[in-house]
Amino acid sequence: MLHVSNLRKSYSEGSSERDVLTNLSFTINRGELVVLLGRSGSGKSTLLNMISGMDVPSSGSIAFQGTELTELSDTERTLFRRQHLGIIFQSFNLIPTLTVEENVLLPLELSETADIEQRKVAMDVLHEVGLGDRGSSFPDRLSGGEQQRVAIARALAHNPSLILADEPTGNLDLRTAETVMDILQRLVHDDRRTMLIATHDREIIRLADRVLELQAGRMEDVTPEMNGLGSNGERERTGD
Amino acid sequence: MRRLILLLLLLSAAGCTTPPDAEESDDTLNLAEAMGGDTLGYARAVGPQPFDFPTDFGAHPTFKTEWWYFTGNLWSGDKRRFGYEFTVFRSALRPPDSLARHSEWSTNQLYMGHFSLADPETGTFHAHERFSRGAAGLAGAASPPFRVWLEDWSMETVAADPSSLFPLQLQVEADGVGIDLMLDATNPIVLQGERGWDPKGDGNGNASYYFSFTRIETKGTITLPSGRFNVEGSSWKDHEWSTSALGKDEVGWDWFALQLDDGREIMFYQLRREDGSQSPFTGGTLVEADGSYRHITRNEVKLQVDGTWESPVSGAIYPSGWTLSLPGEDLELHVTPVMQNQELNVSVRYFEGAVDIEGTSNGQPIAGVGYVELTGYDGSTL
Amino acid sequence: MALSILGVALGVAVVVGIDLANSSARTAFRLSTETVTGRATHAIVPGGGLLQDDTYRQLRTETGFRNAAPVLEGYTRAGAETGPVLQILGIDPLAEEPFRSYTGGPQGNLDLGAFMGPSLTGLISRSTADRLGIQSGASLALYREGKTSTIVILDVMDPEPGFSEASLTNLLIVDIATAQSLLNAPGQLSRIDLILNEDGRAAQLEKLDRVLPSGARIEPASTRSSTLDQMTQAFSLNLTAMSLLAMVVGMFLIYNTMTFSVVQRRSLIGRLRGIGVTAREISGLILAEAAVVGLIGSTIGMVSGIFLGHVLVDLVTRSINDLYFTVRIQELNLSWLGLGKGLLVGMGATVLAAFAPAREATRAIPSTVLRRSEDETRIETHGGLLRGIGFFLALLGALILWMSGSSIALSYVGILFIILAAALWIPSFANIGSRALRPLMGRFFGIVGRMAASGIHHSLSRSAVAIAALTVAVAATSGVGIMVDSFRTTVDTWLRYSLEADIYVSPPGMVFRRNDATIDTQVERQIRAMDGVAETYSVRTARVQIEGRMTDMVVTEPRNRELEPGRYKKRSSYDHREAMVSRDVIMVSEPYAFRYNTDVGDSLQVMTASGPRTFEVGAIYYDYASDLGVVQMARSRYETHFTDRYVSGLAIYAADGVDIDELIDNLKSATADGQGLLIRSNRSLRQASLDVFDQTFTVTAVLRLLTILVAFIGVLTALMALQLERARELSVLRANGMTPGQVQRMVTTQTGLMGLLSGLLSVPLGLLLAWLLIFVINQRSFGWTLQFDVDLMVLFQAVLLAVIAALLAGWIPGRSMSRMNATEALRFE
Repeated sequence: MLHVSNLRKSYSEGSSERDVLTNLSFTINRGELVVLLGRSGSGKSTLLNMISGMDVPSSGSIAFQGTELTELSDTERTLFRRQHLGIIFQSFNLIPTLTVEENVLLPLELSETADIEQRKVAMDVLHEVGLGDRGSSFPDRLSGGEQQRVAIARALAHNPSLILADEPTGNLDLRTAETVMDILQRLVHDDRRTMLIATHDREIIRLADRVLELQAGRMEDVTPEMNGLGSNGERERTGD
Repeated sequence: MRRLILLLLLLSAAGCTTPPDAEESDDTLNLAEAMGGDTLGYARAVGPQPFDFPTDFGAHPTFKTEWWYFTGNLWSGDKRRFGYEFTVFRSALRPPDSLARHSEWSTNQLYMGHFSLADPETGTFHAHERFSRGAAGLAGAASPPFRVWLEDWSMETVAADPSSLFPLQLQVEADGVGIDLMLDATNPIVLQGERGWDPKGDGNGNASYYFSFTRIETKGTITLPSGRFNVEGSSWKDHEWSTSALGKDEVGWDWFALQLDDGREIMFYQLRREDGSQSPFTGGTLVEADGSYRHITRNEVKLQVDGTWESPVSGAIYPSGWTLSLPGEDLELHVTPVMQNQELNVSVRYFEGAVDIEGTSNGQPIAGVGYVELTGYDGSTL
Repeated sequence: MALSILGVALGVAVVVGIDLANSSARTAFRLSTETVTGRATHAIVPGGGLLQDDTYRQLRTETGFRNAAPVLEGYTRAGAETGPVLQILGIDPLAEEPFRSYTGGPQGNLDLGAFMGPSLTGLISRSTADRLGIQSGASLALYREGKTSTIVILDVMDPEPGFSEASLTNLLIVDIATAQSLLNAPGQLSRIDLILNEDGRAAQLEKLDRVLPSGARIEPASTRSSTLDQMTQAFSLNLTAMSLLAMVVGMFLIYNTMTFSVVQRRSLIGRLRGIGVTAREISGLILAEAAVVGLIGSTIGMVSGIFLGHVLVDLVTRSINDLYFTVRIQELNLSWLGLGKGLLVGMGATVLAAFAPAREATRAIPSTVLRRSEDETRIETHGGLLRGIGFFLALLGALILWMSGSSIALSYVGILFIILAAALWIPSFANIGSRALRPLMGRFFGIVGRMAASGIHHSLSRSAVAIAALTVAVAATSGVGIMVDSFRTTVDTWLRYSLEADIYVSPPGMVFRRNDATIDTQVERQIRAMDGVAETYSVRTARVQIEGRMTDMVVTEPRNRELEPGRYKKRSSYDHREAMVSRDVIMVSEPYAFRYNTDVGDSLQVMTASGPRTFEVGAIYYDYASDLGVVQMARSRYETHFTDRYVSGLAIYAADGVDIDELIDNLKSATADGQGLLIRSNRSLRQASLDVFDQTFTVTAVLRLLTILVAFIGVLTALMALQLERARELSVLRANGMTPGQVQRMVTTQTGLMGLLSGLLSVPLGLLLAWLLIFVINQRSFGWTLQFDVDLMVLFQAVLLAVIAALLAGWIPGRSMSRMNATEALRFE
């Protein structure tokens, strides 16, 4: 459903140009859980930004369910994103001035077309993550893990086609990370949603259908080595 | 005699200016220019006119210049000698006009007063000057009854009969120095020149109307910071008015008013020219003891300067001491100022000094007192 | 940074501008009176009216007192009927030498004959000549009380050594004779200047006493300028207070901008701390930066203040001209002290306002959302503390107002405390208000609305300051506005019932409110006899010595009318109007009663032509024409005790059925040849009075505008800081599908809500300020009773103003936020 071809992103620093992403091409199919590997500075966030339509490539194409994102205006991409994408960040996911419930409903509210049915679905998702009773609380009353769970609920609430996540368990302790991972697995994997996750979390890598590694702006499919769990055996965590 | 008042020039529009911060010695102005000046529109003394007394004791505003002049020699009880001068000058700033006056203050007449007191015992010479406009009751001259005043300086008749000039009271005070004198004329009026018309230079109207009272009995008080003195003596009064009096080349005069102890008086003036020579209009009057008088010409009089005195203030060198003789009368008089410094350094600079006289008349010794006036010696020119 | 500088510059400009205008006015009075006073130490001044010049003659001829100079002063317009006002100074050049050296004398170059003679001549200064476009020898037309004269300028004079050319501006030196003619004062003088020596003074005074006429007295020369100062003290103090208000609002602004700059550089500061820069060094850096901003801003402010001063000095002196007395010198006087004050205030305010942001900077570590909300929680708990302090300040302020008696300065201090107290309560109100309005906002604006409302109490430390600044500024504006409107309404009402006649006639005067010009007797007779005139009542405005003070007195011919209760504040038990005609009874105006603590039944000593007489106060009446205080006497009584028979104005009642405008035209054409007179209908006189009123308050209008401007900039910077801090949040929103348009709408909604809260909060504060201005400041400055008239429109406009100002201020941040690349904030991590 997602085709990326010959993607290039460069930034000008003074008089020279620096390529962050060079000639990337890959595809993500429906129902896949793809993990994106890469050190900080490898261009992970940049790639995610472009796939989500928040940024545009210097050249290349990003086709999502037949729509060429590079041809859309900022507002069009925003609307597209609002409808088809769900995004989870490592932190600062929630809007502090909105209640948990309002946060979950955010994409729907922004569309201003949410109907009762859609709202019910969203609230159900909140229940699923175990925070159905915290709907009227403000984010600053929730723990880090709880916030992340709400973020997941929000990412799913409007039933998007693709979910992007950038280090969703990065800021969490072991136990909370496990909880979040469980939810992810259940809600996403078992329901056959499509996900692209940038992470180092071994457990998530284990669940992945494919593992792609970004190195110096180039992408490599490293599924076999990763899935097979390297020689270390422990979950590697390379925090930033 | 005439007196020349340069204030006219200071104030009239003759184009003469004195820089405000000029040294004192430059303040005085050239006599000739002062007597000349702008004379258009004024009445002129073109010939003898009958006088109308007591009215003519007062002011003649259609003429440019006028003064009432008193000098006198006085002695206190312990023979202390004093000399005084009190003169009020009137000067017209503009020719007479018929413009409406909306205020009592507007006037064309300016009054100036001079008062000097010589105190030879202490060697002090006091001199004071005042100015006032001739309006709003601040200064003026009227007759009858006779009254000439400048602020609180006054000369006025105290006679029961208002048309009488004498007895007359002089009251002057300045900075603690003052006189309060009663004057009563001994001799009748003396009309100078030709029946009171006294030409001074060539040209039509270069003359003045001039009369005098040559011997006036005087009694009263002199006030000094050191005390008050009762005094007695004799005074001299001149009243003169004119429009332009000096000729073009005359720079000053020496004027003598002498009272001899034989009852005679002599008035004599020598007009000096620019080149140092004596003007032909020099002359005078001899008054006999009985009050009769005649004009004396310059040929009848010999004047010789016996000494000089340099003023430490102005630097002018004045003659000091004369021998004045009338050979025809067999009269030889030595005239000596009672003190050397009797120079008035005010807006006009001149020497007005009390003098002692001693000499011979017909071979007999004779003495007297008097006053001498010297002008135009400071050499100031424009 | 530029905004900070702009803010400081604006605040300083206003303070400096007003200060320069005030001090220029005061310097002008002092210079003009000192120049005219010269070296005189004392003066003989009349009891009432003018001095007879015979006194001078007596002084000179009887006492021999030397150092005396006669003076006759007045005013006239030159060149044209509306030309510049010149002060006529009539002197005797022969007496001037010890007193003034610019007037010429026997030792000078003055043509005394032309000067003292019957033709009208005079001297003016070089600058005056240039201004009038004339030279020595030219003729100058003079207009006074409707009459024309021509004067010939003899010479151009130079100032006294040590005095500037400006000291002789608009001075016309003439002879006493000329002055008596021009001022129609034959035989009279304004005063006789004296120089009395320290030693021998007793003897000198004894001499002078001999000729002093009854009622006249000898007063020191300094009395004259101190009187002028006193007259305008209240006026200038009020102006200064307003300027300081602008500075206070400016301080809010500086606080905001300093905060903003700290926020902007949070990460930089964090890194600096990381490499070992101490907290103290950081705060020192911020303060130093503030000092630099303060310096630059103050410098710009001083320069702009000079320009503003030029504008204001014109307005201020024009007001003083209309209300109090003629101001001869009208120049902006650059005082280093005034500029220095501006610099000090500007820098001081900047550094003071930067303290809190500097402290905050030391804690500026890139923080998480949680950390930030910790700050905010602190603000919320501190809210209690703030409220407590605020309450205390309010009490203190009220106490000061209660205790300050008649001190206007202290009253303003009290008001300042109250404003500060209100400002400290605003965070709490903003908190509650935004929470309460959240659902409503959600209903109207959806999620954007809810975020807007929450955003306010979520970042209370930022938003509250902006709201407070705007609230105070708008409250001040509406408070002053209500006060001015109330005042105007009171004056209008008063004019309506005190101007009863159909037509009013008066000669043009110099000072609108205190016109003592006179009408020609002949013209008066003509007017009274005109066809169509049913009744004519005269008014005479004179200055009379009452209780040892020169006082304005109005002499009226009372009409047969019912006693109207509305006119009088307090009355005696008897019919005072009848008493005023039959006995020595007078009325005093409300400001008079206030200034001099006078009540009905009191006795006042009035210096009449025959000496001092005691009059009883029969009533206190309302009078808004003059804050200096006026006494009113019946004409018949006046003529018994004074020799003045002149008339300053006529009130005409038209006969039945006569057309007023037609009668006015007839009157105008009948009197056209003689004295130029102002003949106005009741309506147009009322309008003219209100015009003067409005003009007086132009100054305040300018200040109000500037205060709003300062607040606007403050709000703008606060909003920019606010938005900057929400950059991360913005990225999340954009990620979740918020379009740029929606971003802008969100910002706008939030600022609009802030504006609405400010507006609503400004209403009670504004009303309170208005009340304090009317019943405390006005009362204590002038003693007037004003109707508290609140036009709801004003309040509505205040709210609207706040909302619009906030919306405008939010536009730029909104746009920049919407344009921002959504991913920028994400890169921070």
